[in-house]
Amino acid sequence: MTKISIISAIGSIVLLVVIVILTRQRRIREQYSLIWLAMGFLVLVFSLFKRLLDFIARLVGVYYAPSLLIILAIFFGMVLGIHFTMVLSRLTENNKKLIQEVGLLKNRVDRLEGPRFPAASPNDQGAFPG
Amino acid sequence: MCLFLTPIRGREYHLFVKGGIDSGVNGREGHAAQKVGPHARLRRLVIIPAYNEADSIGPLIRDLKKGGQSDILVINDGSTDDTEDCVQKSNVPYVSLPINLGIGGAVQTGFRYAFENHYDIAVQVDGDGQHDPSYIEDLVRPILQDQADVVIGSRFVHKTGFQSSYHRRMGIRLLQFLSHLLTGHTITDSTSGFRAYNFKVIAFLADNYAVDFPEPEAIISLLKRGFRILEVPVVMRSREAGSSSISGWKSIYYLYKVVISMAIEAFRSPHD
Repeated sequence: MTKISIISAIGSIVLLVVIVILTRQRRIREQYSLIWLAMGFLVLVFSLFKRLLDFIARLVGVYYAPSLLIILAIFFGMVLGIHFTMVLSRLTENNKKLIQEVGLLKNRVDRLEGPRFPAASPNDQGAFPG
Repeated sequence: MCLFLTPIRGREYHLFVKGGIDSGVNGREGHAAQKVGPHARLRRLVIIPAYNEADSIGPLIRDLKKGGQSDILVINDGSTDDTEDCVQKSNVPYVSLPINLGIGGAVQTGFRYAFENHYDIAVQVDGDGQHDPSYIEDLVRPILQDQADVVIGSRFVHKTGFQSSYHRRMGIRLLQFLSHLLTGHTITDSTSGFRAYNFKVIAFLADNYAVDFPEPEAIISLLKRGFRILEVPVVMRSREAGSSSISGWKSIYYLYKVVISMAIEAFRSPHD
């Protein structure tokens, strides 16, 4: 094992541990930890079996194996970004509906509670007259 | 201060909304009226989206009350000024959104209110005082006569009154060209928020309306679903107070966003 293999293996194990801890503490939802765990495992596998990267690079016609790694990293980042945009869009939509609902309900509550308040002027028939 | 005002608001709510909400929820009277009765029985709701319009909302509501034919609903879109107080003092029903959504989100709240309470017609009037309430009858008439599902008040049919700045007119021209390209219909003032809708459209828009800059996009989606849109000439005033929400860099973003969403809307399946 070369020095870099060991360093990157340690790095990916740290990543996996951090993700597991954050998920355990519920600071990351399981749903979103999946993609990170998968990536951690992938990096771990590549650092333990250095030949694997060379093999795949040759398979897809990339002459300089590390550049395949960079391409994969960029691709992963983009997929993750799109995924987050989708999550964000869904949250925004949910948020909008909730804000509207809160407004409408507040209006309803005011309307229902309204007559219960004491009268504002002598002519009014409040619920607590006098 | 708010506490002091609450009784007044509560009382007036009762007075103003009684015929509206209660009967609507229980009996769907609005629909029955549409089928059998004279036009006067159709229930109308004027929706006023307002974001920081404390200076202009009072006079607008006063004008609207003079007309007297419609129920009024103000949507206070998370204003940071005294808009809510001013609306309370005007004694009209209002919905106050806890967080600012943008004009589309505010107006959609009004559509949902109109839908839930079975209003037959909804009229949108912007809270900044640009829209003269005396044109509401012109907007509503084609719906009463079943000539249109949506009526838009346009500045550019007769080209009178406040015509906006040169750059904005160019932008509006571009949108006109684009909507013609995408739908084959010509809408001269696609950014106008002075509109009237019948119940079918209210029901649709209650679930499908963009949060920001919704007007041009809504035209495409409505036309695609076979709703009839008619433009009637109106004269708009320049703003009475406050400043436009769209200026400078934001206008470039506006145009970009609107063009993209119009195009996407055009290629969206009508069943989505």
